[in-house]
Amino acid sequence: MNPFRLRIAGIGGQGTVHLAKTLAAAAAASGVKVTMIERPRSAMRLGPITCDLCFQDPEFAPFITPGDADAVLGMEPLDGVLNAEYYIKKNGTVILQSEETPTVDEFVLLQRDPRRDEWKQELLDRGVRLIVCTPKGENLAGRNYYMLGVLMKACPQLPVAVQAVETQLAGQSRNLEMLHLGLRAEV
Amino acid sequence: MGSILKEKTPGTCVLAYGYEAVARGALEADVKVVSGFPGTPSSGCTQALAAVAKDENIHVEWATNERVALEVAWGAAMNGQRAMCTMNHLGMNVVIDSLKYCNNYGVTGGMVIFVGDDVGANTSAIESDSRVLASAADVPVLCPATPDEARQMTAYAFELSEMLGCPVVVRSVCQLMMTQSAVPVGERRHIPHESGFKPNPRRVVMFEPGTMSAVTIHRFLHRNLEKCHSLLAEKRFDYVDAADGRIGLICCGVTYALTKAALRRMGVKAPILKLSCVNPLNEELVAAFAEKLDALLVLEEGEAFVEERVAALLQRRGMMQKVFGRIHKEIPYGGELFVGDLERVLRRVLLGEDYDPAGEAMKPYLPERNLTLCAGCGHMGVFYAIRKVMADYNGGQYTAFADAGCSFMGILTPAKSINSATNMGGCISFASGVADTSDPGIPTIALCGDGGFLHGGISGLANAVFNEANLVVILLDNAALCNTGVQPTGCTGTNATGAAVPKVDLEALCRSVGVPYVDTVDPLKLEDTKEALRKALDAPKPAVIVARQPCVITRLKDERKAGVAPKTAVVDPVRCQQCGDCGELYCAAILRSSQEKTTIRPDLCSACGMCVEACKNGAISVVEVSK
Repeated sequence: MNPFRLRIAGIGGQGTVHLAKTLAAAAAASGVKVTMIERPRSAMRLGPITCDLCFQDPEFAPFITPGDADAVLGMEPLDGVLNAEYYIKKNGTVILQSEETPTVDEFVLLQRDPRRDEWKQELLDRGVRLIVCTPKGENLAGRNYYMLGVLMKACPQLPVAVQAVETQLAGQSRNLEMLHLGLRAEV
Repeated sequence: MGSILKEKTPGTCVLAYGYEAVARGALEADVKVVSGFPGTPSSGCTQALAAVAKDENIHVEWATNERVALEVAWGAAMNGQRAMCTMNHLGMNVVIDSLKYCNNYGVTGGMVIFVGDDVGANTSAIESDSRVLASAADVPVLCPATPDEARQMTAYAFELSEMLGCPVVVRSVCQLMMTQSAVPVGERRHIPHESGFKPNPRRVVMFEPGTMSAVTIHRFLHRNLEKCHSLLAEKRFDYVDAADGRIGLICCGVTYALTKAALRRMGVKAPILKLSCVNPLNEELVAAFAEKLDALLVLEEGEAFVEERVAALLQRRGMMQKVFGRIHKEIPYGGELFVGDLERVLRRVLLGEDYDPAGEAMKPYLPERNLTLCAGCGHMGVFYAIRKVMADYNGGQYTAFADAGCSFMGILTPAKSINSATNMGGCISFASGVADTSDPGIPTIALCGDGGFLHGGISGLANAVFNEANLVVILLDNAALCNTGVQPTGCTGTNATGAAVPKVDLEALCRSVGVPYVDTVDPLKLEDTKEALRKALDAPKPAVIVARQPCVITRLKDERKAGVAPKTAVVDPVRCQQCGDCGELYCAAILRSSQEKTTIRPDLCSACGMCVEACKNGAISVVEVSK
């Protein structure tokens, strides 16, 4: 089995670490070699956070080397594209949740940073497969698992089976519901 | 997969963080007392042990600071029990005084100091290398290379401590401690220990006839360290990976695993000396490794700690091998070494491939999303009150200082209302110094969290009282150490294991050291907070305001547990005049735009009510979140 390297980039409070832990546990329970490193800037909500998951990596190298990520999952579009900029492989897949959370600069200037779109376009120009998605409805709880569903559908080479994730989510009905919703999304 | 701390079958692999592997190692060594102070990447170790403390019948506590944690562990170890204290690199700066005493007087039960260095300062204001300070205190330092080695090495460190009669430091870094991987567990051992305080009288009473002098003990400590390598030999933590090549690599701790990954990417082999015991350095092993080589490249996270010692050793022995690393700028000082960084260094040194030592591409720093306070944080109300009140007070001139907790967020844009921040609890004495040297008409304010106040702030406040500092102190009591993961403080009412315990009465504590004016306010009540600040400015000094409101993360968690329906603030677009009053709170949940009416994000809002009070048009109200 080839190594598969995934970076999840988000901001505090979006369930980034929960998602990464679930995926790592599902892999480990299936006998897939995995490392997961979390990199928060602080424990606060809205702070930037990344989690790197390396599946079937022959050596202990938990932090993904720039240009080596098979996929980047952006729980926030800006954090997603900025991480993809450095870490995504040539033909890698970038999945972005569409809902934006303003940066401090955007917050103060009362306007959206136009570079958000430029960065996105730059990825497309590099031949990266870019998927932008949003769960429908007002209740956003479990959207991290919606994103995972989309990832699992878009990247069949991810060496973790849906069933293994479902087992880890036993009793978490909302997360399971959102995972299945993501698996049905168009990619 | 289950919890690594609960796994009973030796050899079973369990998915665990590096810090959990350290905790498992301590359990396997039959640790009885654990005292820590939170800090990335060490906090999780104490938290993991606290979660099993009751079942395992061990004492686990969060201490008020790292020095206290060390002293508690030291006392337990002197009482014949195996004990561990935990901290990050900032804590190592705090403990050095007690650590030197501890090493001088010795221990009878095994004592391990687990230090997680936040190399790269991912969540810290200071980057430093604990190996340097541990070495200054003449204690052995072990650095694990893999999660499994972290477990084994921690367990062995207790034995080593007992054999040497001194504390042993296990030092690791974020890349190892914050990583989950499959870790095999070892056997749990029961270590029979005679309880009872039986110190070595020759080392404890230094001024009595028949005891050693401090100088004699100092010399003894150096001789004691020399025994380390013969004791460690059977464990084979340090070894050579033989390969052809004239340039050898010396890898310390986790850089050994990362270097192997980098070499594999390059398809290259090189002789490697893996070093885990870095203080004292195994000089014979290093010299024997270097003998057949032309040059050495030292790869380590932190300072050029091993590199400097290797270079000195070779010079002392008249060996001519060149030493590459940080000293000659092949690797920049500061920051973590990732596999990509190591590959670039290795390509340059081993293969002569082009590499820019100035390191423009050395670290793939990303543009950063700045931190903001959580929506509904009580600190926001205090910063708001400071900005509003101080703008009208004495021509708007004031200085304000915070410590290293969440209060430092007041420096950042947009909440900017304070000038600078210090170490934990240091802001009160720092502000005293500023006040002593400022125009008496310019108010000086110190903002200290409850964790920081109990960490070191209280001594600064006592100092401010008897030296009559012209100071307003605001204690931001959110009953937790939030910046490190919401651990309990003395003001929480629960301890590390979640058991209910008495709270430290901050107001009484302040009065007991002679503070002439103490007031209490709920910082979510904006007008009350402004009024409290105005009164304190005119009160006898030093004046203290206790701004008490639980951390919003704790509050929301407690509300969820209690089944309270989630609420959010909403804006009535008809009443909203876009005046910007609510925006002056700088709450992340309030979305303002130059083109559109203000809205509030229900997924971020914690329904604290501050914006309701701030809005003069009555346009904001709190409602239940629709499902």
